[in-house]
Amino acid sequence: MNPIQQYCQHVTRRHFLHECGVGLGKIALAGLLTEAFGSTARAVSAANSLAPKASHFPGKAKRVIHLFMAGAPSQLDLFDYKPELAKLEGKPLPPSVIGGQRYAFIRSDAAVLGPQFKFARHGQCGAELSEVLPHLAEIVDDICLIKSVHTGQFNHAPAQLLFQTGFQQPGRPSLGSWTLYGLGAETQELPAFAVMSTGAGLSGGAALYSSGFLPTLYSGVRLRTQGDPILDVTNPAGIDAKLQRDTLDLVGAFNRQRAASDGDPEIATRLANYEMAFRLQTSAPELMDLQRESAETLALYGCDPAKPSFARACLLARRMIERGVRFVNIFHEGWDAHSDVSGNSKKNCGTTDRACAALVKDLKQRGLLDDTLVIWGGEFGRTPMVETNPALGRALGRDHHPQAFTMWMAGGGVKAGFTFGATDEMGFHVVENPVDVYDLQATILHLLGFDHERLIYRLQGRDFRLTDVHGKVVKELLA
Amino acid sequence: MKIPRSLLRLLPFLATACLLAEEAALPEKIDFNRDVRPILSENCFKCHGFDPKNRKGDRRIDTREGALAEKDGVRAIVPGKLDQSDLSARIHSTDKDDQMPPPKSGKQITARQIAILDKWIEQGAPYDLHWAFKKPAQAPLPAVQQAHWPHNAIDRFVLARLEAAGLTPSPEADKYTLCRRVYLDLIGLPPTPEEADAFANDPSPDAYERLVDDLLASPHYGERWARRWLDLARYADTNGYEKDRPRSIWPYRDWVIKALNDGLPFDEFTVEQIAGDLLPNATREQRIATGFNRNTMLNEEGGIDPLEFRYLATVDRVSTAGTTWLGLTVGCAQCHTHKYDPITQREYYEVMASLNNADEPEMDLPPPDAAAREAARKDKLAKLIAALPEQWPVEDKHWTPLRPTRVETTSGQQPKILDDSSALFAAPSPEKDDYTFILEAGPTPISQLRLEALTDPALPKNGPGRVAHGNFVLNEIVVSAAPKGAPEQARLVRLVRAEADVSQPGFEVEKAIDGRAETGWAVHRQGATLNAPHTATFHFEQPVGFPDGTTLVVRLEQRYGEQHTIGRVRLSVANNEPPRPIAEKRREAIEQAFAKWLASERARSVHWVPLRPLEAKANLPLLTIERDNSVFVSGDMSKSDTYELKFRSELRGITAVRLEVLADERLPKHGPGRIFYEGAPGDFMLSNIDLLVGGTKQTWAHASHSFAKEKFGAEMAIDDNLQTGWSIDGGQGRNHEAVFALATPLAEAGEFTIKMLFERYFAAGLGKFRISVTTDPAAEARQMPDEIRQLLFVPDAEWTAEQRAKLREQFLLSAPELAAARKEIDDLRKPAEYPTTLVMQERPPENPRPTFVHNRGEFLQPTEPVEPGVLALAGPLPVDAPHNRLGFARWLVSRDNPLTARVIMNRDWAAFFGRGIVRTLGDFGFQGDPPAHPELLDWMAVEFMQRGWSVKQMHKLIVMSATYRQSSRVTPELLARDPENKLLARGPRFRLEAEMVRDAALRGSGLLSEKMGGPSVHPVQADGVTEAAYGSPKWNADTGEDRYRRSIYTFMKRTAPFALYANFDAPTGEACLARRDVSNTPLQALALLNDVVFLETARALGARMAAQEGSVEDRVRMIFRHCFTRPPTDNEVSLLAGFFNAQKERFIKGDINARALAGDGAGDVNERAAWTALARALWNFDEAITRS
Repeated sequence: MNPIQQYCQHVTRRHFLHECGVGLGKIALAGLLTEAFGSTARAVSAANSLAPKASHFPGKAKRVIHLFMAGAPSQLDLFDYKPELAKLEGKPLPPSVIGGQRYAFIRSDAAVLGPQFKFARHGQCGAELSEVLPHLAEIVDDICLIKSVHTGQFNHAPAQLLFQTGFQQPGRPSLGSWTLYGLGAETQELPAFAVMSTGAGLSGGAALYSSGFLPTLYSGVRLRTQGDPILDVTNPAGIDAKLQRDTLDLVGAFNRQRAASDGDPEIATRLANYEMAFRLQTSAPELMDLQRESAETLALYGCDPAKPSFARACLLARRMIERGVRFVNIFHEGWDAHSDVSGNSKKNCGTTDRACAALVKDLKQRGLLDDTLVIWGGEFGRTPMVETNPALGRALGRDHHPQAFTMWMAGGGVKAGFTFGATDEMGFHVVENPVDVYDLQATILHLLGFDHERLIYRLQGRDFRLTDVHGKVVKELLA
Repeated sequence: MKIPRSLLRLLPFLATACLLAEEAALPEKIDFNRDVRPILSENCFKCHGFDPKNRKGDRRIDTREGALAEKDGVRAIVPGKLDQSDLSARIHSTDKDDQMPPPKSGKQITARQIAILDKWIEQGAPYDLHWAFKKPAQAPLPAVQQAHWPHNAIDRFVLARLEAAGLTPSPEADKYTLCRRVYLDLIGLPPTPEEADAFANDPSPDAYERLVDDLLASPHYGERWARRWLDLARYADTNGYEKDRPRSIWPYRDWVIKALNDGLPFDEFTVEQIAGDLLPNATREQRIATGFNRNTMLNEEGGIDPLEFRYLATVDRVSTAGTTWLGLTVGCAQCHTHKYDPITQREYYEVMASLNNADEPEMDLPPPDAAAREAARKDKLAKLIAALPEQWPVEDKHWTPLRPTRVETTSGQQPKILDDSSALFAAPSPEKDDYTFILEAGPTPISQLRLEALTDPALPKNGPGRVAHGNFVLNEIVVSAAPKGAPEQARLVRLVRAEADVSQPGFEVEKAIDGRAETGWAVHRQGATLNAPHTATFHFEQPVGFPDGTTLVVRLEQRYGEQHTIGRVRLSVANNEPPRPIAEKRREAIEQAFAKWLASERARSVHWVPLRPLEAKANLPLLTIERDNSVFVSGDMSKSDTYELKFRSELRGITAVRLEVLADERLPKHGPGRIFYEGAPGDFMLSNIDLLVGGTKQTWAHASHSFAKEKFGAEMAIDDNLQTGWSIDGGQGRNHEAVFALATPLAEAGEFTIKMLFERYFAAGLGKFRISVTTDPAAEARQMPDEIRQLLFVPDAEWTAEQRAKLREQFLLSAPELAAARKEIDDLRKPAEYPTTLVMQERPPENPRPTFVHNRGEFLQPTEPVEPGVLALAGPLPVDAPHNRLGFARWLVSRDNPLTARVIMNRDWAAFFGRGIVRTLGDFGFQGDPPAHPELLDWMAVEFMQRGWSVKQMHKLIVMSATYRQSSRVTPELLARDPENKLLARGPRFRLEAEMVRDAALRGSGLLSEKMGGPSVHPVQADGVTEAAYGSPKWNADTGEDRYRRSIYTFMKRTAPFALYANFDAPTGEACLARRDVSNTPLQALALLNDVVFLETARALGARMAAQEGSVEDRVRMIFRHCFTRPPTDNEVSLLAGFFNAQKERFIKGDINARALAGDGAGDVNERAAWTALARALWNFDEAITRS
């Protein structure tokens, strides 16, 4: 019997896991073998591993929670107060301001709509917020507001894809996938890139958290709001723990035997994956069990542990972060206020404001905020002009606005209590410190310890990166 | 991480065995393609290569001329003179400013690479054309020592390499392994145990070859190989992007399967998919094939620019053609000239121009028996219409309306008595009111009284009630009768029965005669019954009649309140006289109605004069004036299309314009509109219509239509609100019209202009129309065929019998009396709907679509126009080929194209061996990997072409080779020497593709349906997989056979891919994919353990085993073979039997719920459950999902 066979046969599961440590994927023995087999094999396997990896330089952020406000919130009614719009209400904007901008639903001569809410200054930093964000107001000194974000896309699916993947069409790896590809996984018990979705279905679909052309093990894993939290994590009825254990032992025995006879290192990976799957079956329900959370915590988030909600997703995100999950995406789709932007903002803030603030507070009090980056924002902004169209049953809404919108970030090495960038009096154009989507992506990667121009993947002769050929780190945002 | 000691012991061996490239001796003779180009390409070409825009210091070294050229006294290369060659100096330099590649490029050149470049310069720095751009030629088969080993030419090339490397091939795989392997490779399904045994027990020398021939002839061969092609074709069943609505393009998928099964030569396979429509007398099948390029996504999100996304689809087509046939990253040249390969940006757009001149219609696919069905439909229609008159409603009683002689009301209000004897009560109504009618009837005994509550324009919403919404409540009706002139003899008439055409729930008509004032009859119920006339009939207990006539007093009590009173009432009486023969009455009624109809239609008839436009133009679409004066619209469209038409008319005093919108097969859903995305296909939205005389807009008075979508009437096109308009959704495939009447007739004859605006948040133009004018002041839109309209102008006496019959038919088809009877006829008259598929259709010569170079690839930055062309690197357009899509297709499969045959052979090779001869399946350019067996690849490429591009013959050649038949067992030595199996000293071993994982389980369990083709199906998957997609669509799993069809038939939704396949690396159909990732993850383990598909297959297999006779061991052997083909060893049998027995015992004891696992079914439930548990485990063995 040769040494590989010996190795494969002799290691018990426990030993195997203990010795090698398993991430979600192809590592351990395969990695060891290729380690020994030279550069080609190593290159193949490095691209295909979730083992923890070093970043280009030490990053402040180790983990990310991205609160994606899909549909595009109205920056003019939440963050970017423009009293001038109230004065202009009912009149069109000068064509010189609008330029050649195309719109989805309105004509460019649509009348201006003033701010829908009262604004006030909060915290020591004195940042201005709308009255519909009372909870965010409490943590305004912990966040960094960026009022000068702009994008090149003005339709939902392409703009969401651009934000998540750096390209307006499906097929490229998402931010979470790049993060995992760069840093690997810390957890061996849960998917390292988890995705939750509250509100309506997503315009950008599964491509928003797909690994694109990166190996599929970097894909986001959706935590479902009903049924199995992770697809197929629960055994079918009639399979109890013992039967499951017996099954896995049987599978393991045959697979070890086959590894010995056929010598394919892939089988060792498969063995490890079955153990990982078995542990997922325990850790996933444990993660979802919110009964252990204190009444104070539940109240802080405004979370009913029994019901799927944005608040519950935020609390789960914190629990995942605690358990070593690298990247959490929470998509809340529902901000697309083509009609009644006031009612829409109230409703969505009612659903999300408390939980977003709670998440930041909670991370902070647990000492997790320093190395966890929280990102909040949509795919574009909304027009200063009103969208009213009786034929479509719409009134007092706002259309898509790519030129300027507001996002906020917290923790993970971002300046706190800081507001960056500004728009003109009508909130139409950025007039100070423009930040485009690629800049934001470059900055996020920088916070994670990566030079965005060097985090690359070679595909068909070309080096691909998240920011394509664009992007610069916005140094002013760094703490 | 600790490295196990056992492995550490291996290390010295590994290190020597696997000589690091860095330490290998330099080759004697440096080969440019093998040794030099990869170094230059990786480190130099980006700045000193093909792309002039990015060239630094005006120095290029991708050509020998460039490298040798003198520039400021410096030459990069002086052949044979290392010390004079700047290139050498630069790569040796350590000075930051001098060093190449520059440190900030992040590139680093190794000592060995420097040595290679030096040696190459010393040897004279010969350049060579990149291997892939040279036409392949067949080298003589190399001599080998183990002459008995090779079966065919492939093996000679492989063995020569192995012998040179000092390796020996592996022994042939055992028969079961080989059988399973070749089944999976050729038909994508494992063999049944019987099929495997038949092969294993066949001692004849040609047993294997016969098996291969059978498999190549199997219809499943096409299913297996089509799936791989569909990855490249980015096939899916939905449009992609946000809305991701379903599309019908499965006929294309079926075409691919059939083409592969029929052995369509690959060159024809190519030409038909790229340009089938351009072939002479293109067949339907050849047009279906063009679906290849229609698999691009279609963005239907509200507010997108359709032209932008059409451009993006074309970009995708170029790069897909580049990957699929040329194995090049052509797409890189979209934004700039290719950084590595010799592809200019201009060439890129010339290729785009080749593909860019097509319209993209949906093609009807009438079934073969369509003509017969159509004939049957017409026949049935004729019969039904002929039978219509018999359904004309005739009363079997003769009702006599009674004109009230007096009316008294509690409110004091007096009605107006109208000509039809009805009494009209004006609005507003009092809160409550009782009406008392005094009526005079003749001497005939009266047995029934009828009350009609009629509508009237004077009433709110036309009534019949006087309350705002038109309802009423009749609490009681009280009737008394007296001999005429003797009111003192009045007697109450007992009403015994009541009937009504409509009663509101809770307000049934009986409640009007129940003697209770608080209940009553009302008429509002579902189905919009309000605001229509209604009838109630009341039966007398005894007929009432007096010889001198009868005075009836009828009191209508209406005490519900809130103005619920009847607005217009008519009362009639009937006797019980035997009726006249129905047929006679019916004939009479029809003739009367027909005459009335003719009179009314004649009165409304308008002379329309169709006008032929003098000129017809639009912002973007092409307007073509057809023979019948209609205008057909084609070409591209925008979200705001304006049609402008000039007319001249000799008529003076034009009062109205008629716009006929016409159905046409060339339009989506046959039109008349052009909407193809976001909105309802075939509809349009006429936002505004203007008539201008001498540039002055004329005012419209009103508009009418023959048909409109609710709330989108023709009047919306003249309301000056561009957000509203006329639309005909629901009436696609038929002609309609709108009539726009002018406020002031046009005084003068002469020229005028009609401008139509079609604006919506999606492109919504009209596809075919005709304009007519009239001087008639009362013109209105009508739904009536032209022929009938003409006949109405002809005096009755001049009609032929046939013409009269046509008129009568038109009358029958429009008479409201027959509306209910016509239901089936109306359905049959709807245009027939057939399956459709998406195709390409070259644009007519008069309307070519221009293609431009786009600066930085941006849609909004077109620069100079380009003509269709090809890539120079792969040879010129064949001399006789046209400069269009067809020419491009012929160029792809020209014998002079160096790439296509190599690319196809390489990709198919990778399907059999898990790895291509060129590893980078999609990149044969400078940056791609060089081939591991260049002569073998070239030999196969040439062989492929010489054998008439026969894919099946090449597949046979591959699977017949000794190379293919080797055992895939990996020895540590081999693993060390050749971890990727580049040299092919062993057989291939890799995980099954996603679809095969499911198909193998379906076949093993006996559930697989072998039905081929047709619309995609929805096999079972966990609930909620699709919920995260836009609109949170439900996945309604099929039941029955469709639940277990082969995976290639699974409905592919791009934004929410079938979870199981995605888990096993299947593509989403969003982009062309040359090579699937092969991952190995815990989520795959969970799927195999718990996915509902595997539960169902385990149950099915479990039930099968439970139903078998024999010992547990015998059955373990059986189930094992269903899953893995080969017979198990005794040790394996005892392990599995042990598992089975242990679980069965637990099921029997009730530790676990057998019914829950095994489901309902016949036979012992514990037995079934235990077999199910075992089957479930077996799907998880490496052997189940690995092709070895």
